[in-house]
Amino acid sequence: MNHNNQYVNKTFLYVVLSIGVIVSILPFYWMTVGSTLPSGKIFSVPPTFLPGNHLLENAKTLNESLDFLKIMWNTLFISVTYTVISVLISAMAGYAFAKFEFKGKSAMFFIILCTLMIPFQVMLIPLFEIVVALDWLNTYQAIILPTLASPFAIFLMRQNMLSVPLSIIESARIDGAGEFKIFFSIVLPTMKPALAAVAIFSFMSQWNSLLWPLITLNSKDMFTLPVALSSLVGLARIDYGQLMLGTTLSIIPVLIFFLIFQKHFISGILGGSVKE
Amino acid sequence: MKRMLMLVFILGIVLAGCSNKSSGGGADLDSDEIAGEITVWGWDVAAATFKESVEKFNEKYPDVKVTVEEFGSGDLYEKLTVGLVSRGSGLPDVVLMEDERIPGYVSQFPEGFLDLSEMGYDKHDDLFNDAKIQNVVQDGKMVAAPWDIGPAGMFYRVDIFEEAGVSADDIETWDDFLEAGIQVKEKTGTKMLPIDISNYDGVFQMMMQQQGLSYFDEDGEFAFETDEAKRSMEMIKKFHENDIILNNSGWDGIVTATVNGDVATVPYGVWYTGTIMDQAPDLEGKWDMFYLPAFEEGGNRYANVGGSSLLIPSYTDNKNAAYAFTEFFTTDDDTQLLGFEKYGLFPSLKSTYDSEILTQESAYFNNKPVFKNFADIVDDVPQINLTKDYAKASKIMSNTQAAILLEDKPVDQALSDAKKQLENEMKK
Amino acid sequence: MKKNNSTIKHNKLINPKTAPYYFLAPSVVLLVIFTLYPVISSFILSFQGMSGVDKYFVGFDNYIRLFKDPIFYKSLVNTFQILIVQVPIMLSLAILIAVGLNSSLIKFHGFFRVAYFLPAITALVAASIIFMVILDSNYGVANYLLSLVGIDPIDWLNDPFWAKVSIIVVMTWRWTGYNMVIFLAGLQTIPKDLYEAASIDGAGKVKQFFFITIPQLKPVFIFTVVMSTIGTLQLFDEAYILTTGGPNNATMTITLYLYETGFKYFEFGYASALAYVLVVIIAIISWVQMKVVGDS
Repeated sequence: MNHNNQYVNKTFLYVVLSIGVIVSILPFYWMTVGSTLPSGKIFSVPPTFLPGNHLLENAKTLNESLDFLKIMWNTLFISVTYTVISVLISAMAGYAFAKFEFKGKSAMFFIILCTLMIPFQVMLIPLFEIVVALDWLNTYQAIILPTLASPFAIFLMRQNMLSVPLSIIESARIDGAGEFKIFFSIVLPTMKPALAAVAIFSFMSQWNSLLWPLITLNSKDMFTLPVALSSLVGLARIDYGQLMLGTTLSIIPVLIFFLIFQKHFISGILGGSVKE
Repeated sequence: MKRMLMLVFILGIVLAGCSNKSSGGGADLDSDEIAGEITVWGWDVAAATFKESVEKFNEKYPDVKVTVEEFGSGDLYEKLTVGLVSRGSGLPDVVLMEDERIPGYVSQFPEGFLDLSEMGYDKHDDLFNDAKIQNVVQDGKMVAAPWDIGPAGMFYRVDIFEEAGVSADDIETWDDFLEAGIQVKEKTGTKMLPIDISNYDGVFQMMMQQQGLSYFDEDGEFAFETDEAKRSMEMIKKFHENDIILNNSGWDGIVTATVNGDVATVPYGVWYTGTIMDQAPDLEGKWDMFYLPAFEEGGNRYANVGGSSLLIPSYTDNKNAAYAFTEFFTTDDDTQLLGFEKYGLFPSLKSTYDSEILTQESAYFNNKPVFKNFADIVDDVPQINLTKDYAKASKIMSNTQAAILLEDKPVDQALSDAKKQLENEMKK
Repeated sequence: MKKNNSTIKHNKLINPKTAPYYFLAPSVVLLVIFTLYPVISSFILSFQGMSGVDKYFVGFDNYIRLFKDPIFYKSLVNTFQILIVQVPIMLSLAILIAVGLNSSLIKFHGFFRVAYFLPAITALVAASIIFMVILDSNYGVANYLLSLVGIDPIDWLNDPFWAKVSIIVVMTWRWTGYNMVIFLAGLQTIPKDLYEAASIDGAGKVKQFFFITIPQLKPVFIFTVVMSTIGTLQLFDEAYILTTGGPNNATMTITLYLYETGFKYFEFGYASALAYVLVVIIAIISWVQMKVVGDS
């Protein structure tokens, strides 16, 4: 009886969880199928559930409306540059907070924690004014710089840096190593999981970011993927085939990356708040 | 320290790499030579017309390289405004703009656009009708060159009307239209007209214009609480109560409804002929048009929907090429007729009205001379006062329409709230 | 500086005393320019009006206008309606899936976790676009599936009520897996013997869930509630793509309204006032949530 009961429970669990999985994945399937169909077929009753042969035509129209390769490149360049610098400077700041005593430390840390609570929207308009004053509209730095120093990343790095034993730092100093050498060749290598988490978090937030690029980019050749996709949605007659293809293409790189590094990825997107 | 310097160095490179902004080919302004690269922004079929006519433009101006970029019109305005605020970043050399938007932009950015008469465009004044010229002249400056106009009419499905036993000739007033709509719905199950209830108040605008008003009267006072506004809204409400409106979503929704035969009529500007023919080739012979119904027998049946013009942002590096483009595209008969023939963009250039394309009977439209019908009324459309607050007023009115139809808000109250809200928003 | 001593060879410029300043410099400089200055500037802006490019002080006019602005109230109400419905649904789903996945009866944990997490790597723009197609009123697959079970088509994106539901659907799809993984990690920290002891005392699975799992997950729970709340209060992408705030502002959110005021109509002063009200609201809510969840 008990055994039977367990069997029922097990089946029930599998069924429920599988339904959930289907709901999770079906939209991706729909999107992928959509990218192989002509616009009209995506909206037909009954719907077409199997891939069509319109992929190349969709690619052609997509590339006519937007220089898609350039847009991919923009997004990639911005996201990678942002990630590398952001990880580096937040690790440096986190290290300073975790392993040094200095004047104004607690006050500074407190202020940084406070800015964690301030929504980006508050800074939107003055940032726009800064960018206009510097004549930075339609530039990469306009997208990269404003959120480059992330209080969240600094906080996270500081928490992780706390675990670095002071003794190894001290002994390196006694051996005559400079402070930056200690940081780069002794401290950073022990921080790989945390660095990976912050890197993925930064990369994803930049890759997916819409609001700020939407405001600072008005020239098509500088668009990022989210801005480009939203401009396709805005067109008078939406070509859903090209839209679905564009959307699929914007997800694929991240998807591949995710499937390979899924463990790091999950903890990264969760902002390192969950240790694997 | 070395590492630090390295970092600064890398940052430097990144920043330097970032700042290679695209700059247009700068032609010498004093020279008569017309060459270089220009970018043109437009939307939808107008952008398509530009693209197709570039070849002919290049026959005359072989050294100008034209890049046409298509945007959704909402997107285009936002990006244009951002560019103007930043005094030129990312702006095109020529931009298409709906006429009703011109006063708003000119008042917000008085220095934003070139005065075309300074470049000699005023010699073309006589080529266009007065109402259109009035739209492009702001504060004595001719800021735009007339592109298309949109005399409005009621497109209808001949076959559906026949099946329902309704005759287009009998529809003279909006009340007649309502009755016909009810009958069409009863007999065929088809709804009478599409309205994107929460996003587009076009039917309301047409009704107002027939009565000589925009959202404002000729003195620029709010027209929200006038009897004209009230009876227009009441009429739309009656349409909704009798379930003859198809609440479509956006432009795409109207097109889909038209193609699928989900509506019996579409009240729109003449340029919609292009879309119908293009998107629903199977329905040849099944469409026709009549003039908009009036509010009382013998009342005015004419209005204008849409219509746009070309402007040159004053930040262009290539004034001469931009002007050459603007002048060519707005005064060349063939280009205007190409836009019309392929996409239904109705020329504002009067010399085209006698052309065969515009006077012939159309096989698609029940063998009627529909385009001539529209050309005939161009001078009879009442002039209305477009003001700088048009865009805001239009948004508020769409929302008001939604509140009345979808949330059962009483017409009087909704209109008076709309007025209050517009007043609140205009108070800066 | 207690450990500092003279035996360490001092670099003239960089020594343990000065090093932290070098390490902090890039972040601090950036934060001052791109965070601190804007926060202050925005506060000043909220008391200013603009004509053309000229700014002038208007006192509390922007705030007064704000408290008379029906769209502001509507965006506030919308945001809270979405918040109150969406966050509990999403977190309940997330917690249930997490408990299911944590069960010893289940194999393929890795597969399930990846599958559920997949939506969380999708850009909000992409998610919104996919659902825009799925939820199309006339020809979307959602209505087609409903029609198979005899339900009339729903005007998802054009009806004030259903437009909100649509936004909630997208948000739930996008974020449930994300929160589920957080809960799952939380669940794995709960000592097994707690459940064993409860089983011996005769407590059923349901009872165990409410009396062991939920209380043990409290810190994780607070974290997800606060994060989801802050996220919802900043809702922008979904509304911008799916409904552009319509119909009749039924899905207008505070951030979308701020964007429109700021960058469609270029009323910087008014938009800044909106932003500051948002800050106050987020601060109050976070505080209340910490208080409420923390005390009970």
